Amino acid sequence: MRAVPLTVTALLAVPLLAACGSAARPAEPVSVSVSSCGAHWADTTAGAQHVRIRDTDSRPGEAQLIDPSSQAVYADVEPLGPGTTTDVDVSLSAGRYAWRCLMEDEPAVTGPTVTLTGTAKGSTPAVVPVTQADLITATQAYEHYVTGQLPRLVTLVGRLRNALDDPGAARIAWLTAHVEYERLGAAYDAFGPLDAAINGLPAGLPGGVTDPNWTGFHRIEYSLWHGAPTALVRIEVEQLGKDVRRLEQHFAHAQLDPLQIGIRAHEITENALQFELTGKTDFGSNSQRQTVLANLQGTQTVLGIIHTLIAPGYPGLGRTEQLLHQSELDLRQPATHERIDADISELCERLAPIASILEPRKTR
Amino acid sequence: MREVNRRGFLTGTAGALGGAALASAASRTINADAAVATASAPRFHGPHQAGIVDERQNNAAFVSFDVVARDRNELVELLRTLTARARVLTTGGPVAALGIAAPAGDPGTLGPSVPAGRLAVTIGLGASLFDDRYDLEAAKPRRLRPMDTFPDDDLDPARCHGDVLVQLTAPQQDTVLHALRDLTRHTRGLMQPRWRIDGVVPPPRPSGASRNNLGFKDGIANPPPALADQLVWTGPGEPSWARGGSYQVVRVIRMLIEFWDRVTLGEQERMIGRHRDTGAPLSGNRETDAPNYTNDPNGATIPLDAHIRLANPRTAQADSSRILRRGYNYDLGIDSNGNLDTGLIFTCFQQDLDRQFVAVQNRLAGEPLVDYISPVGGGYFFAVPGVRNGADWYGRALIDETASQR
Repeated sequence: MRAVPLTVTALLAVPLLAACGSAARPAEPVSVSVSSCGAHWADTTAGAQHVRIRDTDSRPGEAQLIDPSSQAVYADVEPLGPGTTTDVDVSLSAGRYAWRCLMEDEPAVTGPTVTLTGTAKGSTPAVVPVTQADLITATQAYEHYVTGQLPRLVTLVGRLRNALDDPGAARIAWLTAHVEYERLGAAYDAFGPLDAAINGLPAGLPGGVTDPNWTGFHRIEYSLWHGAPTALVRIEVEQLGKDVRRLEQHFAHAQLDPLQIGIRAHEITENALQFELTGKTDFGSNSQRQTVLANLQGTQTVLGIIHTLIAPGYPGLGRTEQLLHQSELDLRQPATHERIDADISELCERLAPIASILEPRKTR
Repeated sequence: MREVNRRGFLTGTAGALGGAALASAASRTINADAAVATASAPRFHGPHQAGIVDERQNNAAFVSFDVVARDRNELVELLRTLTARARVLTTGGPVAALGIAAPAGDPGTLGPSVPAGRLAVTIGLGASLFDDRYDLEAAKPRRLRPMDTFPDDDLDPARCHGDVLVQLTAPQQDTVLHALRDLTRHTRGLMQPRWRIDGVVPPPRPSGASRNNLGFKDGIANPPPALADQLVWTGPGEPSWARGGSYQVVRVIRMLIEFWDRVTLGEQERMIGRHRDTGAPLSGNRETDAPNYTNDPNGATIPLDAHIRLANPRTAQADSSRILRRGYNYDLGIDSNGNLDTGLIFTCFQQDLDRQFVAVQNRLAGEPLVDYISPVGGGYFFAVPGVRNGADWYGRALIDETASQR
């Protein structure tokens, strides 16, 4: 049955149309507001929908097209400024739908439920919003994982310091410690400026590889593979030791943004593609494959933590996990550069939807 | 999806090469509005691929890929994906709504709706695809092989060969780039780009055939479309799946234009065999005049080693070696010595690599022009037959034919 408000607005529209003569007029946009959320949604035929919506409120807000029974969201427009109009393209099969309006500083208002009929098959994939609480739980699990790894990182940097008198041993110790850091991958943003100190590149520094402000693993890599005096390398490694201990202390009290966990899933591999597979991070060790392998293990950890959250809205998850596993095998083989490029760039494509699925969406 | 009309495609491409003779007189009496609609009609399904005999569009990308599909199933997935995307891209229409569970499906560079009929996608297969990876050896087109190295070449292996050649052409560069972005996005795990070169057809200056970067009109003497069955599409002796396909040669030819510009006009014209300003052969007055060699046995007018004379001596014997050229000028910036890195993407289609391109190339060996041009890359490919209908896909017959032999 059609909801009453729609019928009322349909009647109101008649004099307007009559006044303009018989020429076809575009339909009134669907209203996004506290007082008349979802009004004017008139097309009730299943299939491809091209819906014009307008914020008729005095406040900015967000409009979601939902299935009221499952709470699945089919379209989500945010932000929508007062008085502005936008178009929403979405395919809907027969069923019951409604608009939900979330105006600034106001509780959510759900408009009338509208029944779409017809035989058109196939809806635009919907997302059942994850809750903030779900994301916080996942983020805490991730923090717990990193916290557990950091003492080992501190230990490995200590071993590097102790190995400096033997250049061969120093290079091996450097690689072991660096890969350990890269395995944490998911937490780059959480480490803040400390990441630049620990794992920064000379890009953006006026002096490039000779810039005194370039510190961390890659600076040490450059020194170890370019015959720098041991006394100099020792100073650089001691600085790194201080920075990883600061990280350990800082991280114990840090609170990660729950938003980040969903974005991390593909950004680790994006970084691997952009910086590792192009050789931009190579300062002599030629260890990009080990780094990418460590990055994939970081991705694996993140996927494990968010698995139950994304599984319902991400039908390709199984194939993505399979590709992740295959990519690790290819890196160990080692396969050709093109094969690795194909693996990692395909992974980036397949992991990208996770950020959309895990995007926190207001529902109340 | 809109029905793709093959007749519409032929009608809409009336022009220098393709349409004029192919389109019937009746189909060109349609009114102006209909002509516009037809000219922009999608052209995807048919016995032959687009981008071969139809009118050359002004912007092109030639992108060679190495296939990294792990097995035949993944190869089939690649061919089907390429077909599906090419069909969408050439047919046009509103971009599919993917909703909020994924990033946008289209980069939006062509606006909210992809214009119809503005793009031609031409897929070619290299000899390396027919190695032992996918059990295709037995069905390799008879003449297909890695591109020959000719004595005047200076080939860079990184800019040669490849398993799959994607030729994209469109009236506008943004359409070409949009298509390339889409095709790579959907095939990252299955094929990886090996080399790429983009080119343009400049406007006529002031009329007739467009000029290459040597300043000479290029592509004047192409065979007429009526001869496509004799010169372009596959002939006898080829595997049955290959019917309707064509051999494609791509040669990236660097032009040493600084050196060229220091040569007198008279010497340039003798090297080419044509007047630079008019494009006319040195024995004629207009670019459309056929060069006259019978009255010039000693090369007094058109030197015996002039480019056009060697390429096509206009003998009955050389008739069957004619090729269908579709060149594009390229401009890549500068060389390490400050010279401009610019030249020609020479590309041609033919029925038989050896009888046509290779024969022409052998006749050109050592021509005076070789001091001013330097082939640096390219490859031999086999442009597969057209996708016949909505259920067909690139190379389907190839896969079927080799499946029965496994």
